[in-house]
Parts: sequence; C-alpha cells; structure tokens
Amino acid sequence: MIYLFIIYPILYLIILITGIINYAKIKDNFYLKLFLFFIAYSLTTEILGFVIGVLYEINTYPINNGWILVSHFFYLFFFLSLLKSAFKRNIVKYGIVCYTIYTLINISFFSDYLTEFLDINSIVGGILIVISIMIYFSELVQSDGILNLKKSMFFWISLGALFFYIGVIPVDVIAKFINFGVVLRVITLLLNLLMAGFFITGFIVSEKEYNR
Amino acid sequence: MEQERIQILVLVVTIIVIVLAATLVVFLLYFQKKKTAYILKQREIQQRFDKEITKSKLEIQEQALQNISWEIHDNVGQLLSVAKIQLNILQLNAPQEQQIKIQETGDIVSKSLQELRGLAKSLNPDAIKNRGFEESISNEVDRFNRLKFVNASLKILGEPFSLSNEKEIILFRIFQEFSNNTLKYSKAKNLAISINYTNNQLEFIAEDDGIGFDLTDESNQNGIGLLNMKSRTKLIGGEIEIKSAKEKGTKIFITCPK
Repeated sequence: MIYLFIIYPILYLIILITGIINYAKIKDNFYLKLFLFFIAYSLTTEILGFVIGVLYEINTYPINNGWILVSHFFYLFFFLSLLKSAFKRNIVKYGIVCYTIYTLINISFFSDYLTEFLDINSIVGGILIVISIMIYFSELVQSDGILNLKKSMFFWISLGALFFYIGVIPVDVIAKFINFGVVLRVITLLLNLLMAGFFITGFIVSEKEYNR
Repeated sequence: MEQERIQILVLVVTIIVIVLAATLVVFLLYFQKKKTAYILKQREIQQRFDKEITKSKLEIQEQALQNISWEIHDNVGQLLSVAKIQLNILQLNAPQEQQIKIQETGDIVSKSLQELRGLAKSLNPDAIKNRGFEESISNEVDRFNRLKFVNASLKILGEPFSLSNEKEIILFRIFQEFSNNTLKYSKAKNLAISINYTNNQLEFIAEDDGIGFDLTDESNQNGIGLLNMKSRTKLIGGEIEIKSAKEKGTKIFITCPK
C-alpha cells in the first residue's frame, strides 16, 4: 500500500521537471509562472504527507486542508485571469467572495481545521472550479483563441483541473460516510494520473506565443 | 458489503461524470475544427477579393496610361509634326542668316517629337507587349542615358525566355516606379539593372547609388510606392526584396516564376 502513496510525489516531481525544462514557454505569463510554484507547493505537500502521514503515521489534516484551500483559490484566480467579459468575471468574483466567507465561518465555528477533513469546502470549491472552467470554455468558443487550443497551456491546465475536480467531487461527497477503501484510492490515483498527463502534455506541446 | 457497494457506486458515478466531461471536451474540439475551417475559408475569400481589387486597379491604371500615351502620340505629336512642317516651309523662304537658326529650332522640335514618341511607347502597355520586357527596359535605359538623367546600365545573364504579357507589363511598371523614385528623389549618379534568367524563374535587380531612405521608418515602409511594388509582385506570384539605407542607395530584388 505504501507504493500507492509514493506515486503522488513522483507524479508532481515529473510535472515540475517538465515545467522547468519548458520554462521559456511560460515565462511571459504571471499566472503560468505561479502555476509552476503551485506545482512545487503540491510536491512539498505530497512529500510531507508521505513522510509524516504514511511513514510516521501522524495526522496530516492541516497539511492536506491547507493544500485544498490553496489549490481552490489558485485555480479560481487562475481562471478569473483568463476571462475577459465583465459579466463572467463578476460571476467568478462573487463565487470567490462567497467561498472565502464560507471557508472563514466554517473553519472558525464548525469544522476543526487541524483534526478533520474539510469535506464541504472541498466539494463547494470543486464545484466552483468546474463552473469557472465551464465559463472559461464558453468564452473560448466565442474567441479566436479556439483556433490554437492545443498550443495553449491554459487549455491543458483547464482540462487537467476539469477532469480532476469533476471526478473527485463524488469521492468527496461519500468520503465522510465510509472508510476510504481501495476503490476510492484507485479513483483518486487515476484522476491524479489523468491530471498530471494533461499538465505534462501541456508543457510539451504548448507554444510560447499562445501562452501570453 | 454495504461499504463496498457504496464504493462501486462512487466509481460508477465518477466514470459517468468523467465521460460527460470528456464529451464536452470532444464537442469543444469539434467546434474548434469547424471554426478553424470557417475562418480559413473566410481568409481565402478575403485574399481572392484583395487580389481582384489590385488587379482591377492595375487594369484601370493601364487603361489611363494607354490613353495618355495615345494623347501624346496622336495629339501633341501631331501638333509638333505640323510645327516641324511649318518650320520647313518657313526655312525655304527665310533669309540666309536666319536659316541656321530655323534649322536648329527644327532639330529641337524633331528631338522633342522623338522623345515624346519614346515616352508614349514606354507608357503604352501595348507597346510593352509588342516589344517585350527586355527590349522595353533597354529602351528606358537608353532614354535615361540620352537625356543624361542618370548613368544607367543593363546586364543580361542566362538564356532569355519570355513571360506572359501580364507579368511583363507588371514587372516593367515596378521598374518604372523604382526608376521614377531614383530620378526624382535619390540624386543618384548610377543606376545598374540586371536581368538574370534561371531555369525556372526570372531575377530582376535594380540598384542606384543615391541618398537612400530608412526602411525601418514607418512612413517610408507604407509609402504608396513601396506598397504598390509589393502588391504588384504578389499579383504575379513573385517575391520582392527592397534594401535601402541612408546614403547607401536603394536596391530591389525581384524573382518572378516562369
């Protein structure tokens, strides 16, 4: 079972290395550079999770919950930066504001950040990200950006995030009611593999001029 | 048992959701393909339209030049001929001392007539068609030298072949545009022209040693003359390269497929 957990750090390490090799392609956009930092942060989280949680078997909820919150805010702001229409930007902005307020209240009064999994947060954040990706797609089909979809890193990141979050929502919904069994672990692993695949492909096939 | 069933259920739900997302992405890619095809087609139509416009502009221009050429040849030319005849008649009855002056005036009129005919020929597209590109250029070079505008030279390399009438006229007009600029603005002393016939294309090079201009300057770059040269070359499927720098002269290099 240990081998299953060591896959995650390796996966993020591969994404990070591919990203660094192709750094020249993404250096013109602030959010893409931030994405690389986000991957580095995810790698750190996975390594800490593996060392503390799996090897020493200590509670890793603070680390994981931190990652959940950071990743949600990162993706929401990332897709917000891609939107041009004021109306669509406002939808995402209000989403971010509501999510922030909800998270603050939830952590302050209801959930314990240090000892339990922030399940509702995870679900709500996931749904918000999926919605903002849909909004991004809806703007994409109306713009000329769609002509060079496959050469745009933004598109590959949105694909990775879309498949990961849309797939992980059912798992999150059920996670609190049952033990985290083998099937659920396999689902999350596959989703992570899929997401990493999209990110790595994006770094390789995207072109500098479409990553501005 | 119950736990396992719930897990399977989650798996199924996840798969369904993923498949839905994949359908969405496939739809997006399909839409992209359609839109790309549509935009490419639009661009092609636009290009054809532009080409058609350039072509008709050129036709109108050629027509105007032909009219001017006829006007010079038939109208001004006739008047000068009459003047020449009058002078000849006048010469017969004039006293001895005035005869030389009248003779000189007559020569000037003859020369003007000759120059006007030359000009009429270089303007008239039919004359270019009849004489061919190479001879038309050579006539222009002779005219420049005769009028002492500039010291022009023509060099021909390779095995000559003729191009279609349209290509020859357009190439000649580009050359005229260039030589007009040379004569009017460049203060050049020398103009070197070379025509190189290769296996599958014609290379035309014209170079002056005048004051040149700054190619990077936006106003020069889009000057009507340069744009004309470029759009004309495009029309005959050729390529043009213009080189110039301040005090270093100007050079054009045109390749035109056979």
